[in-house]
Amino acid sequence: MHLSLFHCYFLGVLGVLCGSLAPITSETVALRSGKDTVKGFLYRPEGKGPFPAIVILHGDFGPTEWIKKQAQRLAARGYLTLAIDLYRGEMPKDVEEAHILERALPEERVSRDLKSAVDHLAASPLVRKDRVGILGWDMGGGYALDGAIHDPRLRASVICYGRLRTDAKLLAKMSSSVLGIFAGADEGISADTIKQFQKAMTKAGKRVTINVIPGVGSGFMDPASPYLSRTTPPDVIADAWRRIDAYLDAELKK
Amino acid sequence: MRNLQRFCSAVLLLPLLAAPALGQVVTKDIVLKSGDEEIKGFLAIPEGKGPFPAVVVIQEWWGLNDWIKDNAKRLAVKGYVALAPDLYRGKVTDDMKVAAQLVKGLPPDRALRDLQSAVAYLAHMKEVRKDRIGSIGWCMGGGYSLQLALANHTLKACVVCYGRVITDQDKLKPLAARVLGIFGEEDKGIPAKSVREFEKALKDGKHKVERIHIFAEAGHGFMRPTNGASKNPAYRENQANQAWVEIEEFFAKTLARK
Repeated sequence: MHLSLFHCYFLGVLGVLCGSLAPITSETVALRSGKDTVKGFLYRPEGKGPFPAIVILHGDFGPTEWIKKQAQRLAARGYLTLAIDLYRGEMPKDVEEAHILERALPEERVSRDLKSAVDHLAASPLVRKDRVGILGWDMGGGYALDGAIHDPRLRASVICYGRLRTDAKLLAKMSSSVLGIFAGADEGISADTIKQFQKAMTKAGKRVTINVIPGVGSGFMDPASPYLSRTTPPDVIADAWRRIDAYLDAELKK
Repeated sequence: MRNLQRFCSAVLLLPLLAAPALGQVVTKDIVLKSGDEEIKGFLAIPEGKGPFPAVVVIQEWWGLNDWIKDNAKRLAVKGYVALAPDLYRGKVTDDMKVAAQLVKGLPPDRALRDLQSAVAYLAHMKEVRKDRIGSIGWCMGGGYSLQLALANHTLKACVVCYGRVITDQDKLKPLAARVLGIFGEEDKGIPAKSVREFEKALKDGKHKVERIHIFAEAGHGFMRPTNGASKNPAYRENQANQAWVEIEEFFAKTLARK
């Protein structure tokens, strides 16, 4: 057992996942977050490490199988990934339930959860503590940006169609760079809002790369996203992943 | 008798008004400055000279729809200048899948800046008593109503209708406004336990609390009668009417007093 038990007092299923990808180890952890605990799904690449690491944040529909698969995919690429459950076990059935949960989520609890996740990774001997990033989709994309703003230990942040901030003073706090993946046919995040974000990042002196993928809707990377009116062509998803992989490799593997 | 007089003067005034009058209320679409941007807002002004107390009315995730405008008009009928800024820049929907995206298209810092601009707009109106401004919002707007009161200490009253709560006493420290909370016990997102923690944090922090009312047999969104063209299954008429009574009494006490 090489895994650190700092901040972690429950150890769940330990398993080895094999498939077409490189073998990885999975584990369920419960991290102390203020007075309560946040559950996490930890995926470790094969080998001794230390590895670069990524906090994975789920979207409106909670830590679905799809979310776990993406965390596993990144682990197979050499990152120790930790997907945390911001919803405390609740899994919304439909768009309305997702909204009710998402809208009500206590933001101070989310901040604590994010800090706990980074604490856990940074304390692990398996992790290169100066190579920790964060990645999230829709709701989790917004929180990935918030995490980057409030936690200077984060070095790379990927926001996939998540809510933005436009205040340069706020963005100036972050030490991370940002990769944004947006959907050209998103009903909510408009080209104007992306421009406001980009302008504020530049004003704050932060590195940012924005990709707006034309013709796709919000949630497009998950073929089963309830927000989509049609499935995204697989090559479009693969292309988005190529951009994310290139960014993460450049920021975290060097 | 007084109502009759009001009604008569409203009828007499009707042809003189440039904007359409609804009962005793004048409504108009306005433009206000928020940062470098010009944004739209829906303004409802009571009949008479004023100066009146005023309320910032904050939209749900659907956008600045007819129900929010109706609520602004309702407050104007009661004697408040009501301003609902358009946080979504013209977008409005009754489709949940679209609303879920619109909500994410709203940068929270920009929304707060818009709301601050709405307070400033009201404070500069000659019809408004600038030391008698409050806020109200539902769902997404309920959360922002609290955020606005935290950010703007000139606000005297803040109504949160099933909006995101804050349970950390430190985070509530800047709050100066008196608070009325309207929640539903069946709200899956904001369980009664969280609402009680919110109430405790407010009271422990010695903040002014009118009441934190958790309505029985009501869930999230219980005050809104419709979902677009169809009925809202979450609507609870009795509880909604009671909530309006409490809201009106609260504003009367905090904003309309001499």
